[in-house]
Amino acid sequence: MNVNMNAQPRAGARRGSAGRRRSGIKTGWLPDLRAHWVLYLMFAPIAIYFVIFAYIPMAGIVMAFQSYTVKGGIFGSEWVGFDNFSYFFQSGKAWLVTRNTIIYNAAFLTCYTLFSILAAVVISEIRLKWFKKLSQTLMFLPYFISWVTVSAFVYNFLNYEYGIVNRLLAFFNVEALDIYSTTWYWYLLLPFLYVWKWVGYGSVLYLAAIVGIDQEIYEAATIDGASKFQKITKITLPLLKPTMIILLLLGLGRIMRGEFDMFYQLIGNNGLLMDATDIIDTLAFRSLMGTADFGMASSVGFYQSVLTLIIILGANWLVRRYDKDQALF
Amino acid sequence: MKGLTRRGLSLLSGVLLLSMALTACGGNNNSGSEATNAPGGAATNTPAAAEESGKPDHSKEVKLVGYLLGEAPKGMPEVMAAVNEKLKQDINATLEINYIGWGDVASKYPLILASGQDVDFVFAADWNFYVSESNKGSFLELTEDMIKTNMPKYYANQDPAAYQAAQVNGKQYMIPTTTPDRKVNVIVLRKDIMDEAGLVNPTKISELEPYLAAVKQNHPDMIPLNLDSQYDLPTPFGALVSEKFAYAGAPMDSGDPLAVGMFTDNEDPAGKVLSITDDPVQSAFKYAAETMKKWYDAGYVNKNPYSNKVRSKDNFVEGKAGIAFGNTIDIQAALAACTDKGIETYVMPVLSPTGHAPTSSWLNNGVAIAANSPNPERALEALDLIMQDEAYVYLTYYGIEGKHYAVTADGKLTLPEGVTPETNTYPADAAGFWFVNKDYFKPDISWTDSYIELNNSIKDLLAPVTYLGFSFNSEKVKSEIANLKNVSSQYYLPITIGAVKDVGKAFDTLNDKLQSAGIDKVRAEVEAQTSAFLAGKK
Repeated sequence: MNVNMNAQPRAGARRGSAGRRRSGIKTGWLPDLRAHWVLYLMFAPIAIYFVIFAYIPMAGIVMAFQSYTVKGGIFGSEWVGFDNFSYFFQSGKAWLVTRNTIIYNAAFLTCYTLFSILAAVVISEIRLKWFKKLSQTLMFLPYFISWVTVSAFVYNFLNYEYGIVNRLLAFFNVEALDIYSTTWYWYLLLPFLYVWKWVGYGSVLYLAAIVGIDQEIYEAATIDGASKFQKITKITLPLLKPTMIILLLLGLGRIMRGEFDMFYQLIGNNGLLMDATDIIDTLAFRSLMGTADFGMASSVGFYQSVLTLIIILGANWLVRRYDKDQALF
Repeated sequence: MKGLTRRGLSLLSGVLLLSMALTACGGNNNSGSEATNAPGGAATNTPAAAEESGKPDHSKEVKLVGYLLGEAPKGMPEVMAAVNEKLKQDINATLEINYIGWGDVASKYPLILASGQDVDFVFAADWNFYVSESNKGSFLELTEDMIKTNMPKYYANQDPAAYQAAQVNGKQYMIPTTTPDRKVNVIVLRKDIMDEAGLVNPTKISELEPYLAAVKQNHPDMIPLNLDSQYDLPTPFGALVSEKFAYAGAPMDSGDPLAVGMFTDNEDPAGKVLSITDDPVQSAFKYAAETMKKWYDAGYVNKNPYSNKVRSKDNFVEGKAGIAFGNTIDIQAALAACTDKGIETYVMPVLSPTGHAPTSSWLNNGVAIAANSPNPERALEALDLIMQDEAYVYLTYYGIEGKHYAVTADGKLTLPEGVTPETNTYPADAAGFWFVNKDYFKPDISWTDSYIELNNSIKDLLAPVTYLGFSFNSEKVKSEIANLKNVSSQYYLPITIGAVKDVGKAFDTLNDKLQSAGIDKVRAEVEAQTSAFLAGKK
């Protein structure tokens, strides 16, 4: 219990600074700026980046309500109200793809978090240095492979006629699998590939958090006779919780977007798999490829953004209710 | 002192932040207003400037930027150096060509035009967003005067009907080629397998069943119909449909062979607009679907063409596909490669029941001037030379003589000594200048006798199409078109490759989905536009 309290440096620091602010003599933004100008200056580049690349382009949202023309530009095109949204809701697939998007991404996020933590813990326990480095590198490697390349791999592994898997099965006289026309394989394959690609990256984040844990705690536990397993479950995992919550909340920000590349490259236009694997982005991409209508494309982006906002606010609210200090804002 | 610097610095960072925000905003507004001014200004300036001196003014050197589709061949820099040397002399301009890769066309092409970046001309075609981009105002409107003044050679060679065909909402935005492709879709077979199957001179795809069976039985490494995700996927289906009526290969509303929509019989002079529940479309589609299903179930079709990105004509050369699909132009390289490898081929044109193939539209290949081109007149002049001056045509299409191509004593094109098709750094047709005057071209030495024979017969095979030059403007029904596209991928494409359990049921589902996607609204719009087109033709 005591251990737990001490070992949340992040939360502790926050509480401290908040306390100081309340008891401070000067209040308001300007005095604060004067007092901490170096910090503000360090913050400036990232602020500028977000203003330019996130806040200003946000004005482009108006395109979702316009019939965009090159002549009129973003602010001079004709207003059409909610016309651009009609195709998405008329398609009869709005609910299906929204559900798919959320379910897939929730599954991805869960698997990714679980396996990243698992990998981080295992790597941190490995004592052989060369083996540690090697396994980390191998896990990180898929992160650098684009989905285009992955889709070529997967095709060569799994295709019906000369895929490696089916050749092996044929060798053992097992009937060939028709993976590209059977939906249920993909419910497993997609999360698997997602984890395969991202787990190296995720484990580094968690590994950093594990390395940051005070070694004295472990030493104390060893003296008290704790086993390795006990140390992991009673020290490492609880101390990873803040990092996990932050990363989960950040991950939720992408939940409505989700890996367009992956779905598009692996599934493409495959009608047989579509009901099971269509997400918002692929539906919009497929429908609008032929017309290249910026307004209609923006309307889908707008829909995703609104849903994302609701999800993030909701998740943050839940975290706040449960533990105020862990919330993002 | 110290306090002052601090305040100064924080103030500075604040100002910096604000000013950056403002310039970013300002930048946006500028490009917007430029875009609005450019087309009007350019249109009024052009004739005036030309009239003053009688001849276009070349005193200022300009750099023109053009975008084509595909990928730059390795030898591009050399060829461009040669082109620029000539252009500098002729019209005091230099040219920079950029490429939009095939995979990025749908996303990049509209973006380049909308972003207001430096671009003077782009490749344009009815199959490549011409109508939708014209609706968006991405292209500069072209008047007959502008073409007459700046493109005299082109003007002399072009059929005035082409200008009519290029109009969108009554305005012309494209410079269509003067030589629409004379091409026929073909199916290529291997002679050795034809012998195994005991097939002599087949003329229809439905006669090929024994051939497919022979491939399956005797050549385990070869897939009889090894279809790719883009070109081949609907092709055998289309060839089967063509046996029943003069099928255009794509619906009229989107022009996309991978989509379903409203169709017409190419050889029906009345040009009746048909849906998939109207005959002859319905019966022909069901016939084709049943045949494809039979072949798919027999294992003649690859199970997942959606993920296959290699065209059958390339797999055919490698011995991995039993049949190659293509047209008389793009199949040339594959045929030459087969000859190299000692594979004897049999080329079979895909024809309508009356034995005809549709004439290509002028809009199949062309160029458009970007709405915010800084130098539209000079761009037109450069294009006049590139498209219609024989020396330029050879340079841009075939490369440098002696390096990328050579001419034999009897006037045939060949490769220079020591250059093979693999080592040629500027293969013909590869650089994307598809809009040049192809009447200048000479026959190629690698053409086989059967290919030459077919090529010579093309003229007689081509039949005029009722809607030649018609392009559908989807502006009013774009939501419905977007939905049709989506329905097509999910419910139509599986039918075309035969991967459905029950053809009748699959068509019923497809039809239901088409109804809810708004096919009736599309039909009304297609009918309105086609009848206006036919009325204008009389």
